[in-house]
Amino acid sequence: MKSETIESYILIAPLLLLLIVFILYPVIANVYLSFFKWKGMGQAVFIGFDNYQTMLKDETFWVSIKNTLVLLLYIPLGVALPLMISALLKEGLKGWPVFRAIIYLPNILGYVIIGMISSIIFRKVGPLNNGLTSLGLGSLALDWLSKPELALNSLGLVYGVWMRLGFGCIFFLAAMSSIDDSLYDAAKIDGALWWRTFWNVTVPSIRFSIEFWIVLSFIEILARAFPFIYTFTRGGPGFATFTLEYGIYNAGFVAFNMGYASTWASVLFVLCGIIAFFQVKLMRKNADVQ
Amino acid sequence: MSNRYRPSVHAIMYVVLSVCAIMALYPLFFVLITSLKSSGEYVNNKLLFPENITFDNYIHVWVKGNMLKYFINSCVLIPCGLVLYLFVCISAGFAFGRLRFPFRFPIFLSVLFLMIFPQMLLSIQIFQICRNLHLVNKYLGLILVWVAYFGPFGTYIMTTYYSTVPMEIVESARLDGTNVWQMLFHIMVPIAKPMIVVIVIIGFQSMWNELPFSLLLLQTEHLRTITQGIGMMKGQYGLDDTILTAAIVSASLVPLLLFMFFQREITMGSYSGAVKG
Amino acid sequence: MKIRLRVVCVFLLLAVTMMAWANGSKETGTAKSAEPATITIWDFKYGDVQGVQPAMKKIDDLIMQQNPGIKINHVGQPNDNYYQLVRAAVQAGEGPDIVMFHGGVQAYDFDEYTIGLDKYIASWRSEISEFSWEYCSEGGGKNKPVHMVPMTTQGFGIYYNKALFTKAGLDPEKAPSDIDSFMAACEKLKNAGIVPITAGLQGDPYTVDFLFRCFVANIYGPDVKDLATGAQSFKGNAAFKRATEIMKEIFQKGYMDPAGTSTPYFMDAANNFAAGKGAMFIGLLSDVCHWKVFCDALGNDSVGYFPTINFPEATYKDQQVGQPAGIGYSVMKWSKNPDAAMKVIAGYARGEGNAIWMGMTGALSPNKNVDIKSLGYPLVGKILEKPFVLDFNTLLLNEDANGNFDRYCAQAYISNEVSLDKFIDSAQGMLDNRKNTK
Repeated sequence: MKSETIESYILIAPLLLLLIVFILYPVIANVYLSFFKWKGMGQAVFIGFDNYQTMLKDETFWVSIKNTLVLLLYIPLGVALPLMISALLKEGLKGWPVFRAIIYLPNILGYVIIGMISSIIFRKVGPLNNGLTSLGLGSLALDWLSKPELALNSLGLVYGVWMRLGFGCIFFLAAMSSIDDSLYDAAKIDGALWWRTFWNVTVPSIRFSIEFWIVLSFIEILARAFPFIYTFTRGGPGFATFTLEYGIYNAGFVAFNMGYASTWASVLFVLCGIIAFFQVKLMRKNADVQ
Repeated sequence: MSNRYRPSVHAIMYVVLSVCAIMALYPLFFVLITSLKSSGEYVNNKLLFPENITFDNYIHVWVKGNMLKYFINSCVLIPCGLVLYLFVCISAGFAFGRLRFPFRFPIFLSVLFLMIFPQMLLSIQIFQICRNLHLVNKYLGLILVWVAYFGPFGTYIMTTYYSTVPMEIVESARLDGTNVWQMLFHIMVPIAKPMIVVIVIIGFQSMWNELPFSLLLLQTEHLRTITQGIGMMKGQYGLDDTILTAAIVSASLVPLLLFMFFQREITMGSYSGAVKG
Repeated sequence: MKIRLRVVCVFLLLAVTMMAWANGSKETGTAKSAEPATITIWDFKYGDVQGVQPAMKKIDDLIMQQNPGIKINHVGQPNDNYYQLVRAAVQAGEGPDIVMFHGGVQAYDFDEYTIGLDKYIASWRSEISEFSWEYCSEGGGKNKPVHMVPMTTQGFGIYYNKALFTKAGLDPEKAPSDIDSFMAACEKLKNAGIVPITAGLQGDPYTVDFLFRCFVANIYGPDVKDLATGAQSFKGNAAFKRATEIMKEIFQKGYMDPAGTSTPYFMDAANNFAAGKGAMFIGLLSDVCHWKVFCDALGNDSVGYFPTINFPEATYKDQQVGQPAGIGYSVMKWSKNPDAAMKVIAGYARGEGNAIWMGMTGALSPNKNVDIKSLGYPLVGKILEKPFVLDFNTLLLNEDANGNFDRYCAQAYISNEVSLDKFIDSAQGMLDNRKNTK
């Protein structure tokens, strides 16, 4: 074998080893577990497809699917907003690093904490509504957390759009920094306005980053939203913000019905697998381009 | 470059950015003023500045809540975790990004695929594995799990970064007959310096705020991290908002400071793409 | 730069090894001490540094003083993941000697892994009522071995602020415990500009949940266990339907705090009542949101109490709903020192330790020997006059008791997205789940 090959394998060995032991094995074990009935301790009893049948008849399962899909609808906004703000920052206005730093602050606090704070801010008698009223927009001061539709959409806005802003700006700015300035100069000569430049120069140049960000957004909403939802609305009111992930938590850690939780998890895997498929296509396209 | 737009467009840009900045700052501001209010005052005055500033909440958190121990634990644990994290991400990132070997692409994709899974799904099995390996209640166990969980993302970032490094540097190094480890330290790390800061910050924040795995793997008082500490204080019935916010401010102090401190490096990191030529 | 980097790396690697080594030795350190016997307790209350931890520390010291051969290692675990940790320990076959459990379904799940305590409690069994012992037995069954020693009894009821009652022109000494006087009182309070019921409805609407438990106690009384067997049900029960309508009326007439949906029950709603912002509060008989907190805040003579609202359709009146054991301690099967462990538990459950427990935390102890009067709160004595009726919530499965019921309440009364009939169906569904699981 070429020395380069040997070296490469040595270099990726630590990562692969850790992944196989701590991620791959649990994932496979989880799918395996979905065919059993297990309480987190004691014997696991094999029950075949019973869990799946129960799940498909479970009303809350379909509600959670619907909720997850609604949240996914916020992805376009969650891509567009960081993109535009990054383009603004890139203009090099005075003090732009300060803005970038401030916009990133919420990400530092973490999902759990932002969830807690948001659950206070979005109350009917809370800072947001107070602010709206004082701006004369009193009619917009709704009960964000207690009406099912409002709660779900608030969740989508805060988690799917606003929280993506901080890291999104950093991500897109880094991507934009590799755009050739000559393209901008050419646009300037043509007398292009900001919007034109944005669409015709910036966006196409970082297409790969944008597509990857879309994939990341899917992952964030499908598989990382739980800590936020737990502190934001507890999956409520009722089942309004009850997503697939929340269902896994409920089945696994409230009911301690581990096999059933793994069943829901398998559905999540399938969804993630679809995303992964698109991720692969994306990477392949990029690899070809390179 | 910024001079080519009319002042009014400038103004609009500033307004938009300011709105974003205010929205981003408000949660922190709210947390801060709440933490300075006494519980009694908070009942009546939930939104405005505290009339009587009190530090009782902080005393409660740090003295009674044993936060100091947890804080020191986190400060010791995270850097060690970051060392392994950096080592793994840089090595793998370099291999995927710059070197050529069979199955490179499929393996890379698998790594990315494994990034997707939520912690919740993995926690039970991870606990059992760690128990079998006698890694429960040991920092080493938690570090390994953290690197396994946060590694793929870091590797991805390093991979994309390394793939922009010109081949010549690598080629010239090989001609000198360096082996893997020398290459690692003398070439890969220096090249990656701008990105290292970004990775460190991302890794630091992920690890500092991480809860599910720490909860399962660190079960004794003297090992807990500060994020667990807040969870402990919360108890069965939740915490008064005033104390909770004091705990939040205390726990977030280090990440915030670190972020402020490394602002410069991140700036350099973003420009690195332009510098490479 | 390169050299420095390498040095830093080596140093950090050493630190890691040191830590791993140090952690290892700390573990073996405690295990090696065979004399005295070290008893490890896991506890989800210990993290409460304000109220419970000081009490427990004092009791631990007392026990160690009285039993020189015992060393107590009291470990607090976070509440949210508590049972996950305990199950993981069970799966591993090793862990603490003593584990704290919530009474009821949570504890029954572990019956296989906790030892029977009958022989240890035999000498002082009479100090705690058989009502509580039965609840703490295997599966909650009659004449089954006791697996848990109860530390608290819990209950629910309605506290009211006498001063605010006077202000609204109501007689502060007459509790509005039947439906007509209750509604009339609410109306008078509302007209006087006072919030009739301080409510905690954000997240989990516990105010609705707890009030229902009070209603159900009146509807089924001592026969509440029939709900689990199917001899009685929610669906088709006229009194239960009436109860749901009463709840709806309370909301529609604006008697529930309008800011209730912005107030989480724990602790904001309780704090609001303690600050005098509302006239009535569906509170607990527990170690929080209870008589001690309210009497301290509002004054001993200013707090009144009545256990439930009486309405004509309900068969019973003035039933005090409660749980015979709120929390308790069990000894795990793998414990190497069950005798010592039981000494520790006894230290908590009876005698001086128990008095400290009740005195400092305000939790209601099921031990009859505790001198209630010595606490100095006349209200408690009044509350405990009535015997308890079992809380229906204790009959439900984990997920229903700890989550789904609150969700159904939210759907019916907070977001108003389901009809009352659908709510009754969902409630019945919980009973069916229990019936079908055996």
